[in-house]
Amino acid sequence: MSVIWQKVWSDVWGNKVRTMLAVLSIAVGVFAVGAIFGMSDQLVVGMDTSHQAVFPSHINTFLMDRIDRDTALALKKNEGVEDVEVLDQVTVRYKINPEDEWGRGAVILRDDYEDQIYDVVQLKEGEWPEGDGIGIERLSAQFFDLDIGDEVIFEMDKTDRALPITGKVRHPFVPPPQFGGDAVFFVDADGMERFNVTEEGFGQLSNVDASRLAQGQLSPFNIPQGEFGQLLVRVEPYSLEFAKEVGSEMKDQLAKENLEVAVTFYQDPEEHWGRIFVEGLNVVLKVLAVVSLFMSLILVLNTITALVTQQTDQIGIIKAIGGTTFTVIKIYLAGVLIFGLLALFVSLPLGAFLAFGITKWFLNLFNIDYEVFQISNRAIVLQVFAAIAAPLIAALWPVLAGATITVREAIASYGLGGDFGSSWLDRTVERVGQRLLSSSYAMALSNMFRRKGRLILTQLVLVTAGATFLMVMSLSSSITHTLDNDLGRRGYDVFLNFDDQYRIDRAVQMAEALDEVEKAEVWFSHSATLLREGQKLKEAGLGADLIGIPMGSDMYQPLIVAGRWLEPGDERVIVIGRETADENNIQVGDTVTLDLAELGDDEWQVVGLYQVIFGGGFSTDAIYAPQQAVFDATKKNNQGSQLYVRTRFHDPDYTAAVDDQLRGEYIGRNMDVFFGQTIHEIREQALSQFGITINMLMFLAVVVAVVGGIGLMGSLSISVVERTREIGVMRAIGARSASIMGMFVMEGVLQGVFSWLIAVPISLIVGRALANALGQTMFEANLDYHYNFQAVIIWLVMILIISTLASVLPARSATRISVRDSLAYA
Amino acid sequence: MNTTYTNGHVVQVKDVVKSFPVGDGEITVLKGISFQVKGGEFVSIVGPSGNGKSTLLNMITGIDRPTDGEVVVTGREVHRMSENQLASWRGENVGIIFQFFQMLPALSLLQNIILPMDFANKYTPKERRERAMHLLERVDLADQAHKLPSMVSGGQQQRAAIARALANDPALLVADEPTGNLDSRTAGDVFDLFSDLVEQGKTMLMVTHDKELARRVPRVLEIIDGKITRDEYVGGAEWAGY
Repeated sequence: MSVIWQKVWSDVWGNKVRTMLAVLSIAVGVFAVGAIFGMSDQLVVGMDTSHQAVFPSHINTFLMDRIDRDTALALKKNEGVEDVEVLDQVTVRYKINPEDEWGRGAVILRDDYEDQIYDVVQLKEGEWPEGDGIGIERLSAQFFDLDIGDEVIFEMDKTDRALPITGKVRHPFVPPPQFGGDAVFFVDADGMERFNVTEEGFGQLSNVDASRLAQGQLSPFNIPQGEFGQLLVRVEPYSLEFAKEVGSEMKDQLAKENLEVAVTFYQDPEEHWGRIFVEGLNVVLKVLAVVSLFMSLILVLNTITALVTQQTDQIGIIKAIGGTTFTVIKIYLAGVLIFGLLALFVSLPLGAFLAFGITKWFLNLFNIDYEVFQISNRAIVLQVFAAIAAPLIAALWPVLAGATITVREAIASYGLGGDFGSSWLDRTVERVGQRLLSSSYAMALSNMFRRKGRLILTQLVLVTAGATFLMVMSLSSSITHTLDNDLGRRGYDVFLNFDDQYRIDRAVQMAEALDEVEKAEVWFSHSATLLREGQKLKEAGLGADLIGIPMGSDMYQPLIVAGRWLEPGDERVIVIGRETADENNIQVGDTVTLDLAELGDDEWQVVGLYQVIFGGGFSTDAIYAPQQAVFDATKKNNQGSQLYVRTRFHDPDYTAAVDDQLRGEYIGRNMDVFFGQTIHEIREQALSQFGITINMLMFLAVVVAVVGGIGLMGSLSISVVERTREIGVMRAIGARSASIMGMFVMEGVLQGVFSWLIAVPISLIVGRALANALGQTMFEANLDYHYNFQAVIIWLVMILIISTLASVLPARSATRISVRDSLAYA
Repeated sequence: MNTTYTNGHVVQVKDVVKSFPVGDGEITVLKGISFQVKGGEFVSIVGPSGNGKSTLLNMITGIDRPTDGEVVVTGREVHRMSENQLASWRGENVGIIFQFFQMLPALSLLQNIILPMDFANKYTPKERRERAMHLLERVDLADQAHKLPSMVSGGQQQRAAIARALANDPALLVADEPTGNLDSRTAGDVFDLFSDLVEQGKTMLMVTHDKELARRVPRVLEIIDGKITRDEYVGGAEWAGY
């Protein structure tokens, strides 16, 4: 080993604490980059790969009327149709124990489980459903704690029947139950008849219109054997436009046979539907990873600046005996390279394992198996860059500054540095300390300002940590606030969905007869297809529900993002979802056609656009219109299926009790309630959906806080090394260990409090923009920003704890310096 | 003052040996040194560089410990005390004046002088301030009290360092080359200050290379090669210098 390399090695090995801090500083940032970018890549790739593996259909059509196999398969002859598969899906009520309340579930029938074509479901355990045996979707099995051998009681034509679970099945497109999805069961080709009931009965079957399923608004259907309500189609060659073209032709063709399409969904065969849940989060996480890396680099800059400063005399000697500037640069950059390599060695596997672990957890949540350890190549490249190139770049400035110093400057220093007092800031700080603090603490304050470059860098790290924490906390409270506001726009406490349309006056009268009910309203809804201006009726439109709202209703008003909400006196006007409007270039004021199937079509004017903040995640748009106008269009009157009830008190137990009471009342009068939820249940569902985002953000905030702590610890450790001689002098004039320790801890705490003072206004200013960005990514709407003032106090307490803890180690090392060693130092 | 110590000796050094490990072996810097200093004495320690003068001072101030022998200062067995005990003891009993002044750069001259009183928790905060100002007046630096060390001259820093050494009214003052970084005129002023302090009853030990100053000190201890080669009350006797 050459002498130069020995010098590099002695710098690295000789001061293990400094090396450890430098390596740790780099490693934290590199780890964050590896974990987040690795997770992000694997998540999206894992989702898409899983999606592609099930041969997703391009066109998913739900029919108003049932279709026999031959009619369906005849569509294969249409130009561009690759293949057609038929299936069926109904909504049912089920319970596990006889004393349980009914829960809502879906039963899916596949024509032939052994020979599926599209949207392939997989048997994960047990057997395919056959005869009385049913399959259960495995997420439902996990969430509702059901296993093979358990029995599920289904409501069938007023007769409850228990059927055994014989297999666990994976369905690629079911929403996770914790995100509000229903339990999903599977039956064989004969199985649907079991659920088939007379026209009067409940347990009725429905070809599920997804939007109606989400709202529990289903109509009774009989399902004769060999008839199906859903078509899966692929086109060749695939493009969204071509799929829509083929979908329109199919609708036209079916219409000629008096078969009506309820709704058609178009599905990208390459991209998983769950991407929307992770893409927004990914953006924020990536920003935080870059922030972590940035903080790491500041720590590197800090460490190298200190190293060079501390070794200024050595640099002078190296140069005095013939070393060139390049030699000096080489020595110190080689040290940085070693720090980076060590950091990479630590953080690469840790980042990869965490990335895989989170990806596996997340994908499992989305019902995707992810068992084989994988690593993202992009993440590796980024980590190598973050560990090697980035620190070298960061260190370049202090190394160049040190390397270009002259021999005279380098070896001219003696005594305790005269590095304080030359600026007005120094004098101001000294005066403040003199007036307000004892001399020990005044020194801690002045010491903080002695190395201004290091102070700025350390503050940059701590302020970034603080501002990030405060912004993340504010993001979290903004999400909750947005949900609260969204739920606040709902004036009801209990929502019940009847199995059929019932007389409004009767339903309202029954509800309001209860003392616990303050107000009740029944809304009417009818499926409709929205056609843009000029669009031909035969083209597949946008499946939606036309919901008639009593004018002046204060039960629910969605967030209006353009135009206005419905007003008394309105006639043929509608308020539609902003997303639908954007995708189809519909503006406020435009006239659109609503195709009400057998009731014909009518023109309606769009007066407002609303934004869905929380719609359970999987429902399609509702179109809101004045109730009377909807009655007129559908030639109905005084009928409705959705009951909204405001209770006198609003706590969870009270509303749940009213919910039970109402169900009992209605069922007793043969008005079956198919589905119902209290506002508190909706809130819990929403919070569990956003809980993942909030928890992930909190995790990153903690990582950033830890980086901040490491930064401060590094900075104070360097201060201890630099001030070794001062410590000796203090010892010589009578300072005990506690005094010295107190001085360094106070300096750390002052740094922490100082950073807190700066972080608060920064988070106030930047937080709103970040919340808006997250809101746009998640909901395509700005979050209702709510700065979390509690978090300001929490961060103050945290930064006091972090800065105290970060100071203890360096402060302890300061107390261990003997007077002789310190005065002999350097 | 001196009556409180054993036989009136502020400093008692007995058979002190100090060795430092060097490579596989060791080098002995002090080779069985013994001497005593009575209260109110002014002693200069002289000798060539690297012969053990500063090491001897370190033994007396408890900055370093002897390999063998005993050091009793102000009645305390310095060689047996822990670092914390030493720090407290030093703060109250010994005032140290360094060659490079060693003023803490982040504190004003006034605060530098208050600091030892803070450490010793001696006097009330108001008294500390008044005493520090008084000490600064004594070294003729009252008008510079609020300046930082970097803003005053070397001589002023050394005078402030002397004031700091006096902060807790110690019995013993120890100065290691106190005039080594001062011009001759300023060095003379500092020496006059030391003489005044001794007249007022302080005991003073001073390591110096300055033959002019050494000549003015009543007692000279000469150390060569780790041994005392001369211990005389010279009172202005000739000394060739090193």
